[in-house]
Amino acid sequence: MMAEALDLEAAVRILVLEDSDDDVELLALHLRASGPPSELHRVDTLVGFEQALRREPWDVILADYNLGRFTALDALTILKASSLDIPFIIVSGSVGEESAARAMRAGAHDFFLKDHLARLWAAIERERREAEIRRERRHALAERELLMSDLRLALEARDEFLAIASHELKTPLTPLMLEVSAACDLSRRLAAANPKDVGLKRLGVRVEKALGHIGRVTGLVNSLLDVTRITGGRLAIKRSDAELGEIVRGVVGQAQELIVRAGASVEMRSPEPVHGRWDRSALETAIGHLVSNAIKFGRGLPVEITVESRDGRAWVSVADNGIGIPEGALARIFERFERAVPMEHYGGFGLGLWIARQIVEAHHGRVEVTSTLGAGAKFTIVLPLDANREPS
Amino acid sequence: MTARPSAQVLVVDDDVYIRETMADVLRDEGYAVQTACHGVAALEWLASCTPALILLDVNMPVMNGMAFRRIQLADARLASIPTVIVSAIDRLGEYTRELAADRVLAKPVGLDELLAVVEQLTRRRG
Repeated sequence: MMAEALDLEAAVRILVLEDSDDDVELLALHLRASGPPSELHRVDTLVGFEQALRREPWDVILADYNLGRFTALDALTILKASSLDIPFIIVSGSVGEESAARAMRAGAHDFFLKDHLARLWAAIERERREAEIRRERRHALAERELLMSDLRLALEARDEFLAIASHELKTPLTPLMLEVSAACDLSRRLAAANPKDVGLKRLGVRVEKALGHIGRVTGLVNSLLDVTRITGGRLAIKRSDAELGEIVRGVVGQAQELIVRAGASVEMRSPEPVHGRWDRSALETAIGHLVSNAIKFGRGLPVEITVESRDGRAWVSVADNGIGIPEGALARIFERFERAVPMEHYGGFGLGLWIARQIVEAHHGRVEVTSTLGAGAKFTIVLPLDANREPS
Repeated sequence: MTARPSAQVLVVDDDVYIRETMADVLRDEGYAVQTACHGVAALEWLASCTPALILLDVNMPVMNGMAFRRIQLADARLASIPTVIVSAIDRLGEYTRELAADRVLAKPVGLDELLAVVEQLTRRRG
């Protein structure tokens, strides 16, 4: 329902609920003499009142209190049931304090005695303005609800699309990866059999690089899926007994190609096994993002990973000697699609740290970062040993 | 390309490119490969053949991997064939138990990983 603007130029449409002809006449005289142009419509039965409400919009209702077989309270009940918001003012010959109070509680906006109508117009104008404000507020709320529900639908559609896109992209990636791996193997074998053939050697390098690019695409497609899983509330943590050092070694192993290509090196310090109950594959993803960031932004310099158990918690820190993060960016790098560096220099969706934080927080842990611009960054994941329990 | 004892592998996947590429790379390694585009086609072929290994996709038309596994496991002869799930579905690991698979490979699968698993599971039987 559209809110109608308060038009002070148009005649005020007044619905009068009154059983006495004389009183209607007196009321009409007073209204005409002392206020803006108005149009009066009189009803004297509840059926007539109900029909009038349905038939046209009213600016205000002026109702007698006692109308023979019914009272203004019955009219208020009908008005409320209609869910119309029309100012309802009682204009009565004599009304007891108790009846007046009851009527106000039932929703009447004001009441006047028939021989004291001096302030009636002021009250009508005031109540019309109030009603208009209420209408605008309802309209704004309804509009906000509509926007919110549009937004929710859009987010759901986005997540559904990302999930489908991620799955569909993996289908052609599968034969692509197999074909290029097979070509890679073949060129390696041929190069080994013909060590003097420079062309074959070059071909091998090219194909190997192509395989690396497919790996990058796969990583991006996987992070799309991680986002839909997290925003869709489907990040279920499946805990099992695990050793953190082993998880990290697995991650470093998988990043080997990336490390070699960046000309970097990773040194891992894990003085003793750190056992706990965590979601292994989720932690692999989280730590994987920290490691690949360290390599990506590490300028080919050594990356140091430490795994240890301290204060009843597990700690993994990944420290690089790379470009570092400006202080102003430290707070927002864990947000979605955020990055501390220009997009044109470093690719990616800007999702890695966000995903890592979501996973770690789902384990009741936290991710910390310290950095000196131009001298590297250190990311630390702190986990309770049992992800079921909050760290004490 | 490399001569090996020709263990027979059944590849079940609705994507023709995945089916053909997997068949190609496995044949290059000396395996005999049969392909099927969904669970029903696989069961038809399995009625008269017993491969050393089945590579099975999950999302397929007509009969998906889950339904195929239930039927396969209810048949003593078919149940004993090692089966590897190869799929792009989300949180694949969680389906391992439900699918009672010998191994689970996430798409896109690397060649080395695929060949290692196939070799390991076909050698175990033969």
